Formats: sequence, C-alpha cells, structure tokens
Amino acid sequence: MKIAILLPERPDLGWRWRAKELARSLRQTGAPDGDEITVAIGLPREPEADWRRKEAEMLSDDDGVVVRHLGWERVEPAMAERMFPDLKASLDDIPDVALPRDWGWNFVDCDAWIVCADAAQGAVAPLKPVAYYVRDLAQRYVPSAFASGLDHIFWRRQDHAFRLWRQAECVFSTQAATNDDISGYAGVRRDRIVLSPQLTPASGDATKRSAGSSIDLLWLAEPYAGHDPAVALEAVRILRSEGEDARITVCGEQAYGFDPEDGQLTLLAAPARARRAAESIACETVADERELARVLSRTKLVWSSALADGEAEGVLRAAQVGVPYVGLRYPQAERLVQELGVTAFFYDRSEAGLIADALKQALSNTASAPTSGLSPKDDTRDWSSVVERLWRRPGA
Amino acid sequence: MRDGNRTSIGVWSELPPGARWANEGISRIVGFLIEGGAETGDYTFRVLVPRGMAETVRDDLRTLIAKENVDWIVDEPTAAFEADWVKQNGPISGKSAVAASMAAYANTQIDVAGWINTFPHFTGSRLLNGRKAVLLPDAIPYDFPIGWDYNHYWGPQGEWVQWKQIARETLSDGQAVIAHSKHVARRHGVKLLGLDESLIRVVPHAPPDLAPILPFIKDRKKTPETLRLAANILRDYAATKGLDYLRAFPFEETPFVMVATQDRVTKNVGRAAEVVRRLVRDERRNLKLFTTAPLHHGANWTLFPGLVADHQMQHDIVSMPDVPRDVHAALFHCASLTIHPTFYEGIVGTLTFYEAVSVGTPCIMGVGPHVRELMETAPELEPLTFDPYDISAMRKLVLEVLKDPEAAVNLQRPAYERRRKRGWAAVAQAYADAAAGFDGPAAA
Repeated sequence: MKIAILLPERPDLGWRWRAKELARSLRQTGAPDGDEITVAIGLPREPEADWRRKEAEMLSDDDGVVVRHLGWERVEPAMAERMFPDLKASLDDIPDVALPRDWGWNFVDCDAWIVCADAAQGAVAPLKPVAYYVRDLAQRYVPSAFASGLDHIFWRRQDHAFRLWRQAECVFSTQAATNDDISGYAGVRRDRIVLSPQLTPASGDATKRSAGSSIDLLWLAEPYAGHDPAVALEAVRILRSEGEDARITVCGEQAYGFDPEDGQLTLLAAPARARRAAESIACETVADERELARVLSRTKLVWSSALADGEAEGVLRAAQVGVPYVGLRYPQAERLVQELGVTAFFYDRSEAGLIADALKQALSNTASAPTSGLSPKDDTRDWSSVVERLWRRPGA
Repeated sequence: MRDGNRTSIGVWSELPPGARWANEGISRIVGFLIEGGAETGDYTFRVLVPRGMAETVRDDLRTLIAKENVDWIVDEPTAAFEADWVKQNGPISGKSAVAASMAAYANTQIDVAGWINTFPHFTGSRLLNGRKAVLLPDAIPYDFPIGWDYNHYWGPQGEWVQWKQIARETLSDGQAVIAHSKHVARRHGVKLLGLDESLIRVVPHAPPDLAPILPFIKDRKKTPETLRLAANILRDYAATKGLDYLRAFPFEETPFVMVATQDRVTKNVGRAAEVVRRLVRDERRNLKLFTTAPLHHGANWTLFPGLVADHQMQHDIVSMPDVPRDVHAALFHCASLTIHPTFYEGIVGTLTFYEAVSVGTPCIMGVGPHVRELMETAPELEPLTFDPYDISAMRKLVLEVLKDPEAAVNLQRPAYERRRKRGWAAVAQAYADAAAGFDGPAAA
C-alpha cells in the first residue's frame, strides 16, 4: 500500500516534522492485509536549494519514504472531472478545486492520500481515498489570524474545504476537543472522525545541549494574531517593569518580526510601551528542525503565546527537552500536558497581567520543577484506525 | 357571506408587493387562524392584499394544513378593476390610493360577514362598508422609543407620532379591537391610545403546534430517527439555497441553540449571541446558535450584527432568515435549546416557547410583561426564565439546560398542554365573532 502525505501550500516547521513522523508511524503500522506501507510525502516546490534542504530534513534512512515536489494547481471542477473521469464528489457551486501536481503521476499512483488540512486551500479534488489530518481549527477561536472580515475569501475557501472534508473517508486529529471542532464547526459526521495517536517531534538533537548561553525563557511565537504578539509583548514589559531580568528569547520561523530593527510592521501593531519591551529580548529565527533543536537545548522554560494551537507545539517542545511550559489554558493544551507529564503554568485568559504572573511564577520555579522528556516510543502507536479507512482490497 | 355552512371572514392587509410575509409575526397569526378555522370547517378566510402581493401570500398559505379556496382564498384587485377605478378616481400613486382601490374592490367584490384588519396603521379599513375588528398587536415604539431615526419617527410629524393618531382613529373606527394580551390592552389600548376598554377583546393566541409539520415526530419527543429526518430537511434546504457551509451539515449531531425571531429594538438578539460567543470563544465549548433573525449590517439599533461582524462569528452564529415552515420546524426540533431573549412581546408568553416545546425542545425566556402574564397561570416556568440584560445569568441557564434538556422540556410541557386545550379553532371563532359581531348585541 502506498500512501501520499500531502503538505499544504506553505507548510510550517510543525507540518514538516509531523509529515516525517507520520510517515515513520505508517511504515511501522503496515496495511490491513499485512503488506507494508510505503509513503510519498508531497513537499511544496520552492527554490531548489531550499527544497533539497527540507527534503533532507524529512528523510531518514528508510527507503520506504520518498519526498516529491508538490505543486497545488487550481482548476474548475468541470475541468477536473474531464481530466480525471473517475473523480466522484459533490462539487456543486464550488468555483475551483486543488489538484496535487508532482511532475509525474501526480500522486494518483498512490493508493490513498492523507491531506494535511489547511482550510485556506479550499476544496481538494479527491482522486484517491482521502483522510484529512487536522491539527486544529484555530479560525473558530482566532478568526482575525485568518481573515480581516466577514467577506474575506478565506471564509469561502474554508466552506468549500469543509464540504470535501465531509466527503472524505475520514478526518482525524490527535485531540478529542479538536474532534469536537471537526464535528461542530467543520460539520463532519462523527462516524467519519478518528482520534489518532499523538505525534511528537524526535527528541534527537534537542536533548544534546548546544554551545551558547542558556536561555531562561524561550518564547515560541510567530508574529501574527494567532500568537497574540501585542499582548505577549505587554506581558514582557510588565515583567521587566517589575524587575525581572531573565534572559528571554523569542523563537520561530518568522521571529525576526519581533526584532526592533527587522520587525517594524509587526511591532507597529503593539502599543508603544509594549514595543519597547522587544528591545529587552533576543530573537532567534529558525528555518528547520535542527536550528530549533539547538535553541531548545539551551532553554530552561518554554512559553507559547499561541491562542488555539490544537497540538500545542509549545507543550510538545517543552516535553521534548524536559522543561516546564507556560501557556494559555485551553482543552487541548491541558490534555497534552497531562498526557506528556509536563509541568505547566497556565493562564486562564490571554491578558498581559495574567501572562506576566504565570511567567513570574514559572521563572521562579524552574529549578524545582522537573518534568519528563518524551519517551522515544510515544510516537510509534498504532495508526491502523486511520489506515483501515483508507485501505481498499486489491481489485475492489 | 355564507358558502354552505361556512362563514366568510375578510382579512385586510396593506403589505405591499416585496414586503416580507412568510414567518413574520402577524402573517403567522393569520396562518394559525386559517388552520384553526380549517379544523372546524366553519370559516373561509378571504385575505385581501394589494395587487402584486397575492402570489407571495398564497405561496406561504399553501404550506398550511388548510385547503386553498375552501379554508382560505387570497384576493387582490384585478388589473381590470384597478383600471376602472383609475378612470374614476385618478392614478394609484400612493399608499392611500392603493388602500382606497382595495376597499372599493372589497366592497363590491368580496362578500364577507366582517373584516379583520391586521394592523391599526392600515387605514384603508376605514373605507370598508362592513363590520370590522382591528388588531392592536402592540405599540412598541412608545415603550422603546430610542433606536429609531429621531427626525423620521419622532419629529412633530414623525412616523410614530402620526401612527399614534392614525392607530387611535382606525381602532376607534372598528366595532371591536383585538389585543393579544391584558398588558397590551391596558397599557397600550387604554392608557396610551385612550380606547374605551369595552371595545377591546383580549384574545390570546392558542399555542402554535409545529409537530404536524414534522409528522414523523411522535408524542413531541426526540429520537435519533426524528432528528435525522429533521436534519435532512435542513440539509436539503441548504443544498437548494446554495448555503455552502451548511450543505451536508450534521445538524442532528451538533449541539446548537436557536433564537427564532426577527431583529427589532425589543428582541435583544445581540445578548443571546454574546452568550454563545463567550461559550465558544472564551470557554471553548462546542456550541452554535442558529437564528432566523437577519443580520442588519451597520444598524446601530441592535447589538447583533456588530457582534457577529466584529468577532467574525458567522460560522457559529448562523443567520437563516425567511425559512419555510418545515425548515423552521426542523430547526426547532434539532436545536438542543431555544432562547427567547426578548424584552417584550405583545402576547401572553412567547411563540417560540410554544413552538419549541411542541417539538420536544425546551425554551428559556427573558422576563418581560409577556412572560409575567404567562406565569400568572404557569408559575412553574419561572426557573427557566432570566433577566434579559443579565448575560451571565443567561449563560448559566443555558449551560444548566444543556446538561439535561429533556428535564427542562418535561417541566415546560404541562404548561404548554394546558394552554393548548384552547386551540386555534377557538381563537379563530373569537376573531370571527369580533369581526362579524355574532356574539354582540346585534347577534343577540
């Protein structure tokens, strides 16, 4: 059985490590008929050097996993039906559908697709049995991170995406609360929703302490509304104003957005006094897992200001290096903290004062708050509940 | 006037072509009256509307449990009649001319025992030759005067200022005034408009019953199968209307509350929406709100559209206005709970309370004169009421009821059944009596 894992148009670091770990888990799970599963990961095309670097990041020594160039092409549904006569889906009133191009067989040589769900992508033509992997439906809780108003095209694309999710073999997430969103918000029937095992980033390099000064507080954030940057910066300002001189580093793929010199646009959105707080923190922009691991290995505490990250990246990273976590209390984060045995300092609302209190408490307790790292076996649990939905008996 | 054993009763409406009819408050009452008359077979209601409006009304009335041309007939002046009328009276260029031509048509072409004028500002009824009863639904602007365009409505010749005079004259011109509750009769009829109390007949609505629209519902109970069938109605509607988000939506698996109302200054839809916003956004609960209230974008007399737009809540607070009766009933059945947050209604209780309970769904209600009058005979409903300003109390009650909706509807069902003993047939008779004067001194 050959399964394609199709990444979204702009996969962040989180999607890339998940695709790699998912491929590894599928390989270990195997097909229902006992056959092995091979995996083709579709990685969106970009300048060749960058693409090769990411390809290398996603590959291991396993010959059963390959990475292909992926280009999401949009065509009218009627055209897609002419191009692929076997396409069977209700596409009424949908203006365009996305097709995965790989400059070869275009993934139709695979037996099934796992689409890393991105509602902004709109409808994906289901040319093979499809499962959608949903990390979260953060747009339900932080819509301003996705759209500027009711008429924004994101909402139309989301509605079209959801219509195809409802027709998929299954839609899965790793969290029960996210599955509630998949049901109540995306409108997928419960009998098509699967709770999948939790994927975790490989501990590898992150547990080896790298050179460089230690970091008291590693703030994982990207400069957009989903991470509430203005409120978070105001929390840092309060900390500083109260005499807290901890070494704080903000880290992310676009952490330069917090740099007083490079991130003027982001910082403009924050109140002036909070903006000045950015001058008291270091920025580490990371491009891949290895760079992130180097930063993680130096930290004593992880803080994520994400408002609705369904797989709480901050919790996973804290667990990866065995340090405590600070973040907003919401069901998925609480559940993950519990599952992974992470010491957590939650704040109940994303308000600067509450965040500052939680950070102060965490900073004063890091020395006495041991936490367990990820077990290397945690991510090898059985994925057959998803694979069985996708599997078709040969000749069926 | 009589056709066999039936008495014809006229229904007067000056709502012009293009006006909303389906599921509007008084239009629904007309529908219920017709169904009540159909139960006994005593009446034929002849609804007269301006030319160009008849087909809209027929489309709606055809969804009733009543027969066209037997239980109801919709008339409008014919083109030929209007052409003749124009020759004698000049062009039909304004509301009063439309009403005058309608009245002329009514007086010569429609033989009824009496008329029911559906609104006191429909002045054309004064030109009718026959007896008439005029409805006084309420005088809401005089209870809620802020929120209207001040100059247009409250200037010296403002619309509400004129309305008061027109209503007083039209109501006084009738041989009877029908109010739907004691509080409207007293505060609006007598105190505000100075009507003679003896002229006013308080005829409360019979509780509407949505169950016959969804015949698969038995004993007003929900089962997985009834929910599935009701959800199918909603899905079909979404597909037909091209509502992308709701196509193939699993309504029967999705916890949602419903607010069935128009949006008006009294309706308080915004605060009910705020409750759902808090539950979803702040507390991360999996809940939606479906409402028949339209979104009047940009309006400042309501908190509702601003809340939806500012928070981009349109996927969890879903506006579905102008739905047909079966879709309306299906929404009530699939909802976990209905909220009626209104400050004020002109009736006893709320229509949504009766409608919801009739298909097995509980309804929590904001307290106002309408709910107080209901609780005079049904005090047991008090635990399921709230201060309509108190968002925290509303939120708390929503959560309590969502824990066990069945217990809540079991509490409410006896009050509904008690009131149902007086059905729409009796109400239709009371209206007909008021219009035709069958029970008055002349009849005696």
